[in-house]
Amino acid sequence: MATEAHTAPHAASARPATGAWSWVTTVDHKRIGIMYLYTTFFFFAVGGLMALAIRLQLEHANNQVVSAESYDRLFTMHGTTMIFLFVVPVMAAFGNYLVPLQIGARDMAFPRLNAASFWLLLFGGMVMYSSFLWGGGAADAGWTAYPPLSVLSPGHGLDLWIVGLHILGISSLIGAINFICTIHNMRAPGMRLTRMPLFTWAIDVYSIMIVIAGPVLAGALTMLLMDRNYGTSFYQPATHGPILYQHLFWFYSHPVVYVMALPGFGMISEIVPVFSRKPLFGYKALVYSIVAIAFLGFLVWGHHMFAVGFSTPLQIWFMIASMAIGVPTGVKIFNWIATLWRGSIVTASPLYFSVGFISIFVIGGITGIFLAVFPVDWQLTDTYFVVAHMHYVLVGGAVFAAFAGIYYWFPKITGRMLSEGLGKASFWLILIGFHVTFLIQHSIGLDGMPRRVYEYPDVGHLELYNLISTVGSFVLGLGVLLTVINVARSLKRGTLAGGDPWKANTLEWFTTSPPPVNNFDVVPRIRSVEPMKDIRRQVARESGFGDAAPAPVAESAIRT
Amino acid sequence: MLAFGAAPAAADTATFQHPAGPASHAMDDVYRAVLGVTMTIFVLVGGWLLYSALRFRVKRGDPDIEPPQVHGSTRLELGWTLAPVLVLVALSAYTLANVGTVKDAPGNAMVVNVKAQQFSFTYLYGANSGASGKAPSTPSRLVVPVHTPVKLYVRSIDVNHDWWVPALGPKIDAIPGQTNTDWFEADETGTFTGQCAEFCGLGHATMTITVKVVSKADWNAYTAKLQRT
Repeated sequence: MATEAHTAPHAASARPATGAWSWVTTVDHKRIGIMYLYTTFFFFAVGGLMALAIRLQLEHANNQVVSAESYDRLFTMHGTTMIFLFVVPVMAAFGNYLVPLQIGARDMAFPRLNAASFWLLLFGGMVMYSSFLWGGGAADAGWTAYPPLSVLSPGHGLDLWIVGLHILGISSLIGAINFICTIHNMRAPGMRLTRMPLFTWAIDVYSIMIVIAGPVLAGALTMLLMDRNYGTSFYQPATHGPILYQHLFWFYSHPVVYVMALPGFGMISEIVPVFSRKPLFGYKALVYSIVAIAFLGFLVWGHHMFAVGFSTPLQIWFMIASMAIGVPTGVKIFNWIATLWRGSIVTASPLYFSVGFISIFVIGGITGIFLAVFPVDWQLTDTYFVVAHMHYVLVGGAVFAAFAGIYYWFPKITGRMLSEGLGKASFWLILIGFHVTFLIQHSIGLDGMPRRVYEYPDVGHLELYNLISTVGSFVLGLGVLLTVINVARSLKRGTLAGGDPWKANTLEWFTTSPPPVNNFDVVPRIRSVEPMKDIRRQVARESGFGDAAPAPVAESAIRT
Repeated sequence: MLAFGAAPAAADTATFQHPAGPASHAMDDVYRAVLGVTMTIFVLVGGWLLYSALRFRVKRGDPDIEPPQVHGSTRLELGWTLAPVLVLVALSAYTLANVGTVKDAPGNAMVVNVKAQQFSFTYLYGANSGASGKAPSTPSRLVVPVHTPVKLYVRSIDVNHDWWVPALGPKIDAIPGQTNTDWFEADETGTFTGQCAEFCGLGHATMTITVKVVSKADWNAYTAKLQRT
């Protein structure tokens, strides 16, 4: 890690310390962000390999690649890894690197706390994965770990899973508090909340959601740990304990869907305007919709529980509240497309991944309506339709955004450009592989195949559909591999990026690539949401390129 | 709404299993309505996205001109906030009109008690069945008469399970410590299969359900035989 990063050209103003120890002891938000990125993408690779093992097992009916026991561990750890060790922390990775730069700060508010949250992430992941080494094996009750099954799960795999999640919870909680303090106290002069970049807005709301929801999961898991080991009976059937757990779990885990998706929305809201050469369409509406989604996200957890036997009024409430989230989500999608509309779209890899993101998220959003309508959900819940839906939301909402983010900010982080050819090849393989894998899974669910089954009978089209899905998953894996190769190659051989290769809008592009240790020697006064565009205009004016055209002028022909 | 839903649903890849009773028919109707509405949204939004991304891209040799710097439009944004609200209100209303059929068993329904445990479902006939207190002759296969509403009382003795026969009616969780109800009525005779839909451990994948629907005459003979044993 250290050697690769150090081959990139350094900024002139401050020379960073070198050597592995300097990475272990660093409190620089950029180095912590880079370590976060490596760690989370490592876990993404591990979770992805587990997914491929799952797809191999399901490739044909009554298959025996892995045992039922191993299969249960695979899907449990795949889900847990992707959510808690990839998607949630990868957003913290981007946040760590970018938030101080976007708001014109020198570092996070609490740099040592920031280092602690990274090391706790690594430690929590190691604790959870250490369960593979003990006799009992890893957790096997699904990432939802419903009691009584999770109370009865033998060995200590599930205990290590709980303790690992506790450590990850502390990591994301202190990270969230750090983001909130940084964003609300350390913004550049003139950067009002209404001039804050959308990604920073998203990280702010992400952090607030973690602070509200995180402790609920911690409480739920602590009770589970005690029921398993110390004879307590929080989740005993006689007092409706199994339902209590589901309420607590989903009160945390539904908001977490938005914790995972909102930073991605933020990234797309940064990238689309830059590559359309237009301001973001309806900045305020996008901010309001982030806040509205976060608020509504706390009111809809019951739609994961439509089959537990709620009364009809409760079902109706959760249906209507869930549908209501579609409204602010729709606003975001419409505003992104309106940003593209009549733009001068630069077809670079970050834009490809962003448009891919929007297209997939549209599908993930509308399949969500099926699951909100509870009489339909009674047919679809706990089938592969749900598996398909959640992958459209999370791969669309998070993975495509993370890839767009990598392609967009790699030049800032390393000072070098990624290869466009490899980037676009990777995009097409991921996009096609993704749809081939997951579109057909809606049909698998409609045909009656439940999720979390290690084998299925050869009835109807199940075998054909599953084969298609498995083939797609390997195409998807190949696409991811191309980006890994692209990153590895470009770290050394990419063309030099310069400070602002994309003609971007936000403050991180004001400094050198990679930025010096102190980020900025001077911070400009912020006058709009697009400080870099303001600066470019000013430079153009002063150097006599074109006339002094004020910012929002229709059909202006300024050469930028 | 329904007519539109029927078109894309023609291919069986996009529809439920063939519904064989009023509860599953009502679910199927709501599903087709949602499918029609969402496919319309998908085509419109997806088409707009694709058109925008292709039409406005800068091609090689295009002059480097800054496009009009539009910051938003309150009128448009209000429009695409309110339009989805109307669609969702309509969809909710249609759903609520159908909920009763899916959820509520008629008062005269015959009762069957369902007991879930790792990894099988077993049954006991109850009120209005003509075989009260008896189990089916094959314990894991539920036999019921055609055109007769069947109300299920679903319980579990160990972990969470879920009773689900796609062609007949909705899923219902079997949760230890509580009794959930569900109902179905089969419109045709035959054997219908399903399986446990809530992950319940190592044997989850093999926890299958078989419901045999017989004619009324066969049912009378069957219950008479059960009563003798």
